[in-house]
Amino acid sequence: MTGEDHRRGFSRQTVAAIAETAFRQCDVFAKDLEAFARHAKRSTVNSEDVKLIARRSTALSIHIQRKTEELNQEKKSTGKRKSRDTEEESKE
Amino acid sequence: MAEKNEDIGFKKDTISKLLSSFFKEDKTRLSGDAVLLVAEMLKVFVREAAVRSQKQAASEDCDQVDIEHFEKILPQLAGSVDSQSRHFGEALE
Repeated sequence: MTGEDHRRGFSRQTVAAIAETAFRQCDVFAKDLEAFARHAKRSTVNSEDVKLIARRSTALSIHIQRKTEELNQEKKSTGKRKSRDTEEESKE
Repeated sequence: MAEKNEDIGFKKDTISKLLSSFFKEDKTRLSGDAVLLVAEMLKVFVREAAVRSQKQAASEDCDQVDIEHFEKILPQLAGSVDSQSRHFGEALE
């Protein structure tokens, strides 16, 4: 297929629909994450819980696993200050 | 456009507040890493939605990506991340 160019414009309606779907997906993620953490007898959702919600797609699982490793690498070089700060502001 | 992919994403604060607003219990909190990972998942989700919609529009020889194109690819997209996909819900009822 020579002329396969995917650069098409999106109608405004489509952009809004994608945004709304992503928003709703957050609700699904949040409920699942909360359930997984509670199941593990924790009140704080962590990266293991996120890995679980990515389990249905192999590509996504691999991507999240790689991202987790990246974050762990960053922590080793800059120290644990970052993650402690953000744990404070999770519920407002 | 591929190079710009890495820079654009969801703000940590936005995701944190958004997820928190959907929790059922007040005591549920989020680790910093979890927020970053969910932000990443959403970025992938939106990107996949956009790319698949474009491919659908292309397969139908359309100049613009319209909502029907998005609606056609949505079931498979939702099914790849959603453990509460509507189809299953209907089947159980």
